Amino acid sequence: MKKTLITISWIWASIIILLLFYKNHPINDFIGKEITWPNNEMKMTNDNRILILIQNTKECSICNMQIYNWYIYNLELQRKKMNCDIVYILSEKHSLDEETKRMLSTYGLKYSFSLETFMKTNITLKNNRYNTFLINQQNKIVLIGSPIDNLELWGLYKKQLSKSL
Amino acid sequence: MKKNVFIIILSICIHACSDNKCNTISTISLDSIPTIEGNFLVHQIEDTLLYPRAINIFNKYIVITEPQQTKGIYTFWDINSFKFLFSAGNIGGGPNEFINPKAYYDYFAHTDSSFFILDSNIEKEVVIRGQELFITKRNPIIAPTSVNQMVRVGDDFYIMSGMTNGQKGEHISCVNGEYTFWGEYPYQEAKKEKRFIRNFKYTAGFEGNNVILDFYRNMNLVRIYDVSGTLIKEIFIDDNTDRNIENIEKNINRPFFCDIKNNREYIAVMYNKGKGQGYSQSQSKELQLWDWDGCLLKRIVFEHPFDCYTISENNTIYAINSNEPNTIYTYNIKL
Repeated sequence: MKKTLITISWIWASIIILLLFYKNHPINDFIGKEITWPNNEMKMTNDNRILILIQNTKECSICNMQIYNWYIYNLELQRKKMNCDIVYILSEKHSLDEETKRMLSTYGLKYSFSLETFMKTNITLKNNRYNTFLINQQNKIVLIGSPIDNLELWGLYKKQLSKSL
Repeated sequence: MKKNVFIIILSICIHACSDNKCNTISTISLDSIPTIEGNFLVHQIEDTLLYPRAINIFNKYIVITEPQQTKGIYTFWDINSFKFLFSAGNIGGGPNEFINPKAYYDYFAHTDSSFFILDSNIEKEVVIRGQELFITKRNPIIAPTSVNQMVRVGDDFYIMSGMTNGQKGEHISCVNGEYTFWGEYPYQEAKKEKRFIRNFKYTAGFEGNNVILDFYRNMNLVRIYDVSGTLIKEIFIDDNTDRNIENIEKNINRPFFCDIKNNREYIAVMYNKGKGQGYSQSQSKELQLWDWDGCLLKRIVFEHPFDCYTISENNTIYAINSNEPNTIYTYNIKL
């Protein structure tokens, strides 16, 4: 009985400590923050970028990276003549199979295996629960969150991108 | 007393009309339009259809969607001789390949020189060159929900059913990638997803037409909307058959309308007279022919079952039955 009470107390104490030290970044903390791009061979053709951080591609890269969804969104950007690259930043530890690479190339989606380096140079993005960011021509974050299945947010993305037309 | 009853009925009608912003409400008695027997012409084909899911007409071709075919999921047949011509349309990531068109095999529209299919939320305009398909335009459909009953009513102008969570309007318009919701569900009592299912409808429309027609699966109702979202007319079918609608979730209800096709003159829709439990296309052999003003013109009962059909611009029904992979049926609608 005593042992159980001690265990429960420890669990509670751990939760309280975690809550005290865990800093949940509100969205506004990121807006306006400048992004530093890792030096690599990735070529950017446009000024605005939708940045997607992929922590782990798991078993299905196509699903995890939502390649089909981003392809459809990319088509919409092209149709509206909004210059914006969609860029995946993947972990340096991961690799993509040839089929996925071919799809990314066909669908005009860019990628780079530089997540760890990217996180080192953009320390403010660490420990946040968002993986998708709209970066403007000045390399500053202007919107946060994935617009996939969120038309309101996608509307904001398009509004923001239309400003730089 | 009689006068009071008349006034009450009149006020209910006016109220119903004003609530739905509807100009006209009418009732059609099925008994007033007797059924006629439909005898198909039978065309034996030399090649075998493999699990066909859709049949459409484009220029001189009968286009049959066969998702299991390995040499191309669309097979093209001569509209006059019924001879197999070629198959095309591979699944893949190439520039003229398709991602997942079988999910939306019901969607088909065409111009004189091209046809449109829906491929994994991208409407693709396809042209035939030689015996190959070329995708000339891709329109992304970034819908806020899964795409249901989408019709092409203009260039970059689509109307689809409302959201599957039953929220907002019963229709979504997509114009140049921007979405608006409109139309009030006729049956409001059900909530969330149940509302969408209870109010499920089949929509007919085509590019350049000013109206769309909704045929409700679980209601004896047809609605005409203009493409800007104004409810123009409601037509009720006088049919007292017990549809077992209260068992809709167990899927043992008997629907009214299903499987809609249209050309520029008419809308063809299958109507279930409600014999037996559940729904299978072999039970539903009554094909109704409507015009775009909401007039029921013909009720044709086919002796032979079919599970895919279409109506060509010259008013011929083309039908196939997946259990008879060597046959294409035709029936000319004489009006």
